Amino acid sequence: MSGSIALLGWSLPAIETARRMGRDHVVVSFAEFEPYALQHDIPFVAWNFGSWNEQSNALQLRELLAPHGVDVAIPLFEETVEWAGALNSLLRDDPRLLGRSYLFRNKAIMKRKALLAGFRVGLFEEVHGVEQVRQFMKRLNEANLQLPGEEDAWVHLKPFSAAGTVGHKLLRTQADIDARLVPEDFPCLVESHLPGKEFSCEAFIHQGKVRFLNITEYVKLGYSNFVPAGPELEARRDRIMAATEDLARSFGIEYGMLHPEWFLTEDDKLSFGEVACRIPGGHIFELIETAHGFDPIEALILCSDPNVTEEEIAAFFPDDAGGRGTWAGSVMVYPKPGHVSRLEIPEELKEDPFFESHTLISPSEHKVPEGREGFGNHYGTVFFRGDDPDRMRDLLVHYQDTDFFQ
Amino acid sequence: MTREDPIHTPSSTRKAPSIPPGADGLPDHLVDALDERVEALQAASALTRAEAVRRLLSQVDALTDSREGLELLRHRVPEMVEAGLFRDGPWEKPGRLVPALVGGTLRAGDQTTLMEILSELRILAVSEGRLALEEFPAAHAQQFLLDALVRDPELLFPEEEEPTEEPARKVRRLTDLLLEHIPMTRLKGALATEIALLCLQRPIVTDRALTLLERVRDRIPVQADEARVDEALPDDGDPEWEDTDPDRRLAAFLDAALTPSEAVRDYGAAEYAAHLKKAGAEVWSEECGRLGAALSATGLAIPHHALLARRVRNRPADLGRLLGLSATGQAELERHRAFVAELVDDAIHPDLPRAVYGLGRLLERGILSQQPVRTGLQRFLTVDLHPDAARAIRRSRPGAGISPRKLLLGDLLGVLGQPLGIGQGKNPTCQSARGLSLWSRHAPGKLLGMVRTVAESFDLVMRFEGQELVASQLGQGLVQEFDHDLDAVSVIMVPHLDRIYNEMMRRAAYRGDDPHRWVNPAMYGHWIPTGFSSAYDYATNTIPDFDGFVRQFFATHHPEWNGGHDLAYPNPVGIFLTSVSGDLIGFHAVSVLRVRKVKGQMRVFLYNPNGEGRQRWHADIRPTVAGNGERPGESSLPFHQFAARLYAFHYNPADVGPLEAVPAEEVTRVTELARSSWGRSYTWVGLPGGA
Repeated sequence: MSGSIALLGWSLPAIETARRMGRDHVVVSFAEFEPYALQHDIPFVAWNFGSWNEQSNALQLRELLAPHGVDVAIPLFEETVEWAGALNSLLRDDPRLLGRSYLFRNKAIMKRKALLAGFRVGLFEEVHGVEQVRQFMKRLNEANLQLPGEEDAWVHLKPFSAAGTVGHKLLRTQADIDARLVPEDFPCLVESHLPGKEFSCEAFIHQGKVRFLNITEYVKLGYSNFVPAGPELEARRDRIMAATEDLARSFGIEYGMLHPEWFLTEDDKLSFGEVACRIPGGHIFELIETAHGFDPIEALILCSDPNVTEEEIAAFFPDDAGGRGTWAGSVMVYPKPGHVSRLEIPEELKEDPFFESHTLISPSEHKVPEGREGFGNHYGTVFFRGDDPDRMRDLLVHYQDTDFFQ
Repeated sequence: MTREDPIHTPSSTRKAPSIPPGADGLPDHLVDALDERVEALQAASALTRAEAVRRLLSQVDALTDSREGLELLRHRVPEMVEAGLFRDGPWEKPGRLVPALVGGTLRAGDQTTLMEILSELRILAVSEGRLALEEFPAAHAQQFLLDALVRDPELLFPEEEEPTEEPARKVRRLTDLLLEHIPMTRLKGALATEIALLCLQRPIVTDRALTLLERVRDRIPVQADEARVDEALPDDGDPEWEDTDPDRRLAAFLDAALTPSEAVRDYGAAEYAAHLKKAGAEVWSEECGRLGAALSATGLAIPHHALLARRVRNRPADLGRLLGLSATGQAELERHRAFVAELVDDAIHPDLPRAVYGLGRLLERGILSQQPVRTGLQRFLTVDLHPDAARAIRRSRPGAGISPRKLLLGDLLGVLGQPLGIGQGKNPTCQSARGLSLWSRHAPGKLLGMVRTVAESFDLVMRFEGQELVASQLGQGLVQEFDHDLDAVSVIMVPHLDRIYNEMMRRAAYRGDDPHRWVNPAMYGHWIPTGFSSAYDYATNTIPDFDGFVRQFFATHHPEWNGGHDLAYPNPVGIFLTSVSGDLIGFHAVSVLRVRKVKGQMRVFLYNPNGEGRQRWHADIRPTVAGNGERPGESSLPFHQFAARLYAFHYNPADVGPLEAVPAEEVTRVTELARSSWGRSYTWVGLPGGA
């Protein structure tokens, strides 16, 4: 246990956890949160993460944090990752920490790094205009020995530094390229479509070792997932663990967490998708808490702190990362356009033994759900928990297509 | 976020959840899910409580779908309250909730409905001693539930068939559960009191009281012959005249209002008319005696009253008995017998029986002898209604078979006969109602002229500081969605008065003082005295000299310090309205009618067109309508409480007593009351209570 921690980003559950742990902390976030912080006695430093220049950089931020005795900075959201890297570089006097944080903030650098470390990655390229995307798809088609009349190779287009699925576009045809791309998309990354089942890991790392590895099974990217993964994925846990340890080692991550996304094919080929080092989206932390019975924010805080002892870490995490017979899942609900006048919860959902709770609110209540920031602008989430991963998967498939708004 | 695992403990080792008997059919997973959500709420701090409550409500939604689930919630609600379910929210302090608003909130839907259901279950738990809350003893809790039920007939007496839609089904389940836990004797007592208070006010529009009585007749077993004593009569404003047996009280009302004679009991309206036609003068006379006594006792007229009035319209003795006239009223009737018969023939019909009561009160006031009133009314026998006026009147009484003109004339009798019975409905138009009431009392001829103008042209012109304001050319008033549940006169007058009032307020704004200083005399007329005092300084947004303001009010209105004078005319005054927590939420207009000492306490008697005079002004400031010498249509408050709510009043500068004679302790008492509620929204200048 050491000095104070700086929580970068506004997250009420994270503040609550720090309080409950009795950890001195200070919250760094946008000035609009300051009145609430004052009102609730939350130590607060107002900071604009969107502005990085001579007048607004990590040196200034360190000065502001000095009175709070901060010696660890923890990034909670995507846009705070390089700020945490810069601060920790200064606090620990290790310039490479900043560079490592950039690995997470530019997907092209990230993939190159993964490629150099020996991971299977898709074919990728940094592009600056539509013509380059067209050429990229054409070269993929050539490599796939496309015959006339056959489908084009799928191309994924992603911004360099957005969280999760933000700005992600899947281009299935040359026609898609013309129809769907706009000048604002560029520059960005394009990559080939990776085959296999997509899933994510939440690896808590302390002193360079993965102390707990959760596997999250994606049912539909951006819509539904559950924790821990079903038996098919969990059967490959050793393989996934080895890959994640390899990833942490090659990216030089010693403290905190990694949230990589992988693809696994039927014939056991594992490909690297991308990786983040902040709180994952999709309510994964809430699901971990329900399924594994520990508070993952507490885990993040402990693992981010080099002064926490081996014993504390060992005592904190449960032994069996594969779970304890309970699965927790969530479906994020997006209203379909023109269908948002009334909330209608199906009777069968309320009566389902796996139904845990929901945060859907009627459009008439004109309120934005207060959840963890950065989870996207969905209209609420339905949570499930139960003792059967196959039934869980079926439920998520069913409810991700249910229209909750009439 | 506990390290304890609430979810994965095998159910055999789970601490046995106590399932109440009524909930034992409930599936285990629902019981478990509620446990989990309650534990999550317990673990949440103020930072994440809102989210924890939201997720808890999603299970409450499932549980309120069945009677068993509701029973479980009833049983578990004390735990949920202690976990912070209502903390820092609008439901936090039950003592500050308004029972009359419960029904509407329950019907609001979604989370609002769920929170309100939980709030009632909490109050039930308090009333049964299963939960103790500060400042909200069990007796208050039971009274709250009774008030909530009897103030909303739709809640207490829903449609016979089961509702098919939410949230109506959840609400029905809640009502059924509440009724099983509230002693029938108490409910009957509360109903009798509610009906008594409704009638005491002698409102022009009597549908609410009549509906309530009809539902009681159809749904509540009343046994007047077995005397039961309601041991726990509430002590908050219940009048002294109460019988201790609620059954007897209800039976008396039912008899008086719905079956005042055996013939009424035996015959529906159509048969009653036939019966009267066949029967002779002796029967008519007897019926007039019976129905007249009932009408005088309750102020409620039913179609039989109208039929009987039509039958005896040319027999002044019988008609006078039916209308419950005193010697004065009878003399007035005799003097204008032909005209009265004409009025009855034209305007009194079973479709609008309340006009019978209005006619009686009109004759009692003796104003038919005023030539402008007589001529004014005469013209309504033939007036051609503007199509918009006719449409508005029809909308206010959709089922009526008689013409809008007849409805208008019928309600004119009420407006002229019962000036204090004019209500504003759900409209924010207290000023307009106050105007109609004042003109009815002091300028009925002027009022008739205005009503006729609007009826014929559906427009109204008034003067403000030398300029004419034409209602139809003005912007919107305060009303957004007009509530048509009003008398026919108000229905056509209020939209115009509202616009004119709003325009006057607009023109008088930014003059460095309360616009009412100029608007009230222009709006209401020369009855408004020229002196004006306001507590609030518009220029600085402060309360500059409350001490002086209070002294001024005492020295002009309190008989001990104003030289013992009475008010000549109603004084339009402005009062502060505050929320349940005492915060300022707005302003309201009432009229001071008189000041009298009752039971050793000086009280202000006023006309308040809102909520049958029983509008609550603050958690602890509740005007009474009975028990303190109130006349029909009046409500009253102790003088110092009223003074503490006041922000502006008119006075006659020639009638001000010596300000320094008002004792400092009286001023301090008023000031403290004011500062601790609405006063918190303003900056106060000067020393509190200083001389």
